[in-house]
Amino acid sequence: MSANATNMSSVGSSSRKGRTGVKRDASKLIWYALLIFFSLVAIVPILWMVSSSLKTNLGVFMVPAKWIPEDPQWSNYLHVFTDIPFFTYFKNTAIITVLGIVGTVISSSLVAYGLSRIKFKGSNIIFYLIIATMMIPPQVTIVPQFLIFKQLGWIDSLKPLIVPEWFGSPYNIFLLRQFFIGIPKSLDEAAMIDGAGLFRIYWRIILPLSKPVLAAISIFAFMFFWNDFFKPLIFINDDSLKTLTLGIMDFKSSFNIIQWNYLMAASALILLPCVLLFFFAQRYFIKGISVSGLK
Amino acid sequence: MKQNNLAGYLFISPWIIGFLFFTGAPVLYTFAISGFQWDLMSTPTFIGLDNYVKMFKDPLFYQSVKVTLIYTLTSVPLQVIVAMLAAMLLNKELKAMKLFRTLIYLPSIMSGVAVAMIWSWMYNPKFGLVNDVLGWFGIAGPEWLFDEKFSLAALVLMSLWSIGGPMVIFLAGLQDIPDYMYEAAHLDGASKFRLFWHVTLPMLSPTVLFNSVMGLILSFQVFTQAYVMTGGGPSDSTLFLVLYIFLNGFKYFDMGYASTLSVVLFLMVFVLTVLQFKLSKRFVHYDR
Repeated sequence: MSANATNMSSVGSSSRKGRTGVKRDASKLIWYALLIFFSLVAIVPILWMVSSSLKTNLGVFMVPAKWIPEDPQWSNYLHVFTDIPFFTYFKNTAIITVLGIVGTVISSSLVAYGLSRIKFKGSNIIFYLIIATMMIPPQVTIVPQFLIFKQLGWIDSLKPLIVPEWFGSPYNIFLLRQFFIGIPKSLDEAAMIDGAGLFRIYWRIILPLSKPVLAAISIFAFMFFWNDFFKPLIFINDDSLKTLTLGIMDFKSSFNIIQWNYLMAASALILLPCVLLFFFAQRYFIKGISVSGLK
Repeated sequence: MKQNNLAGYLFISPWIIGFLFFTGAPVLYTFAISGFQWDLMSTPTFIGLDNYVKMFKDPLFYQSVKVTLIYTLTSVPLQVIVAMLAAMLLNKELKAMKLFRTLIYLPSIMSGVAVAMIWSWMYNPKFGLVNDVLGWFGIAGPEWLFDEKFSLAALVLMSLWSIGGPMVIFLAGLQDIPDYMYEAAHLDGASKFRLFWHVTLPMLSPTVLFNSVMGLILSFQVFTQAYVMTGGGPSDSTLFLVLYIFLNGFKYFDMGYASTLSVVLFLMVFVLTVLQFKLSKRFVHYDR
């Protein structure tokens, strides 16, 4: 697997083992140095956020900055709960996230099943159309969507953020189709001989066999709905319906001077579920992304 | 398997309905509204191509296209290069590699407002970490988000923080390259650079294309960073096209003009994607 150019250097020159050994150690050292550099760039901003979130109002404005605050202000996190209606925002975000995930997984898998397991006229054209819609930036249709939802009386409700998710998302359909194609057709045929209908095959055979990819999709959907900002910003004005991402903006604008320590605590709280999910479900992340890449 | 049109269309019906209501109709609707003047309060008046005429005279329109294009043309290639570099670093059997993969991927699970907040604070000219670190090397950092010469660059640099997605795809691509190709090239006496140039790169070219197309599509959607961190400023230096659409539609309630700009965004993405595929025909090597 590790078909690497650096390993190759030792292949041809085994007679001069001493020198290549040193050379290999040196290249290994450089390799580690680069890896450490990349890792630091990746995690230092996160640590900086946590560090700032535990500082006092004055502590954040100290030069040079202290990484470990002398007197960590855990109460900053309490402020996040009390200064904005955190639990209302949390509830709204949770409703959108849960219903969004369920909707997109069910609808996308139904469509992907139709595209990958059933032969019908025009299925190829439909598939390319689905791929083509992936190219359309959602912002292109935001004005007419707003107008349509306004007509329906859906503005200032959670509906515009949930209902469209129940009609399949192109990216998920694509991903699931790729996966379903790899499941042997003989399974369907055997089930059909046993008298199972198409829906039964979908529900009892295809879905259970696709758990890893369904998990991957759910996780990405979670990240998307949890962090979505653009759509809530447009469709929600009512304070009682705001999501956490909108709430954190309140936090920024409700003070005359930005309270960076509270803001960092709020950011950390929003990101926490994503980080936890990542550590518990890491293999599904990698799976989801590598399935999506080509092929 | 025999054909079953009814069942097929039944299963894909959610997408068809969704497409008609939430994509197809809105796209057509966008084109239609762009011919009207409409502030949501009064009845829409048909003004033909006036919105387009207005657009071609609007310096902010040109500014927003410029900002979006500069961002795309700098951030997408940089993201692809950095993601490929990271993937090559991680594609080696060394101790603790799993830990490095986790750490380098971690920022990519973070997105949206919270990340924009972190970076606003990182870029703070006086108390932010970025200038602090530059200070160690005796460099007096710029004002970043407060300086029109650096604000867009700040957003480009920030986009390099979360390259985990393309990186994992590159990693999968690298692992698909069979070992014998390297061995054969090595026996022919190819140097490391030549191995990279004549084996790795051509074999990775479909992955490069995929990541570039995805990067391009996403770069045209930049909104949250600009809205939260700079509000389009200073001096409109980060006025992305999507932000300008948002401002026209939902701050000034000029639905017609916002739709006109949306049409242009649509056409730009379309043309650039087609162009990218056309160009790639010359460089991408398909081996499957």
